[in-house]
Amino acid sequence: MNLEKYDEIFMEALELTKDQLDGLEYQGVSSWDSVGHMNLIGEIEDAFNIEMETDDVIAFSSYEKGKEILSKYGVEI
Amino acid sequence: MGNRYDEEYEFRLAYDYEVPKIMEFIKKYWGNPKHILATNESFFRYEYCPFARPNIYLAINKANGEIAAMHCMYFYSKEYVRGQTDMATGMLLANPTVRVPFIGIELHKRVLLDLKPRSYIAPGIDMKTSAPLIKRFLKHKVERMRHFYIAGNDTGKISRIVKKVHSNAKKNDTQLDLVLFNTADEMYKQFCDERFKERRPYKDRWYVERRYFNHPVYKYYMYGIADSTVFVCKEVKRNKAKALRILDILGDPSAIKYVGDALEKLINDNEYEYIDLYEQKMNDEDLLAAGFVERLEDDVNIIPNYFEPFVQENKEIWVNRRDDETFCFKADGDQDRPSIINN
Repeated sequence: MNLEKYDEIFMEALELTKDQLDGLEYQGVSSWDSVGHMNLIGEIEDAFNIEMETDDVIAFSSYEKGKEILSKYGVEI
Repeated sequence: MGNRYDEEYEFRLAYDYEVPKIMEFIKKYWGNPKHILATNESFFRYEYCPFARPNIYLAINKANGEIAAMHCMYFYSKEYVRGQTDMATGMLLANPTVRVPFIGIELHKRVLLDLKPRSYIAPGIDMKTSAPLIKRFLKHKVERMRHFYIAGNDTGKISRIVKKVHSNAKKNDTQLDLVLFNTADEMYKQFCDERFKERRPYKDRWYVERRYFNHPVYKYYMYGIADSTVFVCKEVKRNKAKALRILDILGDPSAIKYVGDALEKLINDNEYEYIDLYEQKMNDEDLLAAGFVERLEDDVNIIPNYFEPFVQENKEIWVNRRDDETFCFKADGDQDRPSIINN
């Protein structure tokens, strides 16, 4: 359920297809630039009802890393 | 500090020998390779190199020594004293391919932490990219500068006045003259600078002379009101018409309420289409008493902001201030910088 939601956010915020998610990194696609990152973080926070700390926002550097970070906030993906 | 940025980047003030490299960075990443700061070193140095080292902070990639981001500043006093000097920010630019997000805002944070300005103004904020980061990471407000004008009798060559609006406010019973200062000596004989050091921002004589009396491109008209106030003005021209822009107010801005008649005379004597003013923190009542009306966001009337090149459109200027006690006018930061220099 959380994984589905997480993937959905990535696909919508960054205009990607599911097969593009594995191994995806910040700046790895043109839509994941700083503006895309801002939107992505905002959508994730809204969807999971969390507010990330600045260091975590900056550290959120990949699709996989994001899952790790969300677990800090009690969101298991 | 110590966060992920420190693993990869060094944050420091630029060196003078880096100016050509900084200009190349602007040429590559600003989006306009012909930008004046990318192509005119003389003007670049006037703008950002009044001291031995440029007023520019850099984020440098430790691995390859390349600039990852740059942050330009204006110091409003000759002697910079942490906690006492006021400043404004100019161009803030990041390499868009940097692997860590938001390095620009991180650089901005580092600058404020290091320099500890008494107050700072960051005008010209991009609402789509920078504003959300400023609100989130700095917890600062981003506000729209308010735009006021007094229309003359003949309009239409620069402005577009569809619906003439007059201030309904009563003029102040006391009316004062505007005195034109031709030199800084004249100005400082009348203007009591000492009284206004607590006003934010305070611009010292060194800054005023350099910025307004000795600008390499623009001619400014400095109008004094008694010993409390100086309007910094500039004429703009188009289609054989002229307008006057009040770009800064030194000292006490509230004295504007005493010069409604003087401003009207200025318009008539010079056949100005209008006089306009962008501001933050002034009292509405003072402006209305002087005859100004507000140009609203969705206004049918157009009072242009861009003249190089000319664009007959209303433009909003968004500004970040750290506190509500700081005034902001159009000449703060880089909002009154030439784009074109005619040689």
